[in-house]
Amino acid sequence: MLRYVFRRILLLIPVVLSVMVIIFTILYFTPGDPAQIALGQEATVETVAAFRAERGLDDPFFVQLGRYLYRAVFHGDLGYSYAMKSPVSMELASRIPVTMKLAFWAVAFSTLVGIPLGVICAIRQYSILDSITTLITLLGVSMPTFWSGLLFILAFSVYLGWLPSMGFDTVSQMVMPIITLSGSAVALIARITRSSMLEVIHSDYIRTARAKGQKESIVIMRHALPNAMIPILTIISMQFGMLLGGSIVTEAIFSISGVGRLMLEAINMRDYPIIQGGVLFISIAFCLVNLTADILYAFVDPRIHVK
Amino acid sequence: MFKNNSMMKYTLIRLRRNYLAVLGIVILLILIGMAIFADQVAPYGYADQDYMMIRKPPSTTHLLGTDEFGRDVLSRIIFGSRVSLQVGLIAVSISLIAGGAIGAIAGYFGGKIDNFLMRIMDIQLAIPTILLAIVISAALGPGLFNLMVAVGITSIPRFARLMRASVLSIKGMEFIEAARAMGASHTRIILLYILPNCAAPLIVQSTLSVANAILFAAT
Repeated sequence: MLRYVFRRILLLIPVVLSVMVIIFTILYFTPGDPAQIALGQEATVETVAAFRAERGLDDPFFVQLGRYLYRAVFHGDLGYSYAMKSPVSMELASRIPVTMKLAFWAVAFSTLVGIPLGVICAIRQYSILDSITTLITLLGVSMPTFWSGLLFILAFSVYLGWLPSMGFDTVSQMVMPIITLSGSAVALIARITRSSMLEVIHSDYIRTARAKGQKESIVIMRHALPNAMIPILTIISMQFGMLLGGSIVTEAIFSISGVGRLMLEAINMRDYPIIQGGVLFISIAFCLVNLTADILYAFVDPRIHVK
Repeated sequence: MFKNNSMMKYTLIRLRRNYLAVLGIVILLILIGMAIFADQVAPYGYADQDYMMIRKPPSTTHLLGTDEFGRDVLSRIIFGSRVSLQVGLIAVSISLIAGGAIGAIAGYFGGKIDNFLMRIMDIQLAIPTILLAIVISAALGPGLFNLMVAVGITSIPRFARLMRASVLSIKGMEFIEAARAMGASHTRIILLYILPNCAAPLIVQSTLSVANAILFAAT
């Protein structure tokens, strides 16, 4: 078990390195001159040329790539942002905690709502409750966040004045972004839980558990749910990983300065060092989340051997 | 043949009892019909402009009102559904087939193959979707089909991970053991024994992904 974890963490190195190389290559070939965009339209040819020379943007592809990797790996130096003139690591350090907080609460909320909903739907299949939940979850996936977020602001900030429309520090500020972000996640988790539970509920060992006179609540909680957890766990971990990469739309609507907005601005500004740093963080986050999920599989379902 | 018939009948009977499912099929058929016959159904052309009717609220002549160029919103939605339905279905088919295959192989064979394939998926997951979409459309050129491919490729890892997780929990079961003892080949075991038992989560993910793909293509 420990050896497996250790090996997986070692595997982080090739994965992260290849992500860095791929991103660097993608950015190198993306149209748009970062110097021109960073300096603005009025910049003279000379200043643009000076900017390019200073940042080494005129060097051959492999020289730039090698220099970037060398600095990042051996000095932990991710470079300076073109637009903000500050170190990339500092920019990221200020954004990551906010995004992590948002991702954590959104996943926690959607799990706590989604799993019970799915279980209830599975137990009472085709009941009115099941149909209503299906309807609500469908609404959840069909509403784009840029639309539902704006509606929430309109209702709760503009008309009712209950919740602030921007920021992410106090509890009242956190309510709307979390619910907006959870909409599709709740739906996905509830639907997967429902279908997974339905499959388990009709299996022989559940009938056996009932036959021996076990209480229904224990049959569901102890016998059925753990066996249905594998796909649910996968979905939750994927959702968490995705949210750690920043939720561009939600962060923009609620003026939250997280990783997503940083990345969006960086992509628009062709701010290569920021994009590279951001993707580096996202790749590490994804790998760790997926590793955690793989370890949890073995706990939930002992038939799966971790080796 | 006989067996097929009775199974069809059985499905039909169950469908008839489930009103919600029938309702869903009817709505889907209406949507598809509307997309195919958009020219006949839509009251106006999708680019027809009427400068006397700019930004009008819904009325009897324009059921959903008009936009800032005086175009009928309802007609534009009907024509737009053509693109959206295509993007949703084709993009999800791409990710379902590719992701399902990768996940099944990784989960079934395990070990080095699993590690290799899933780390590639990790790499792909790390690259932001927008960036990947920009790159793919830059490489293939703009256009609707390339957009579908781009949207489809970006969600392959989700399907792969979901498939792999299901395969992992199923591959230890007795009937797989039995199939192997009978001398079934790997392909046969994966396709005939494992796939049908992993379908449920993938179906759920696909249906919800169609909506996601449509929304993503819009942003």
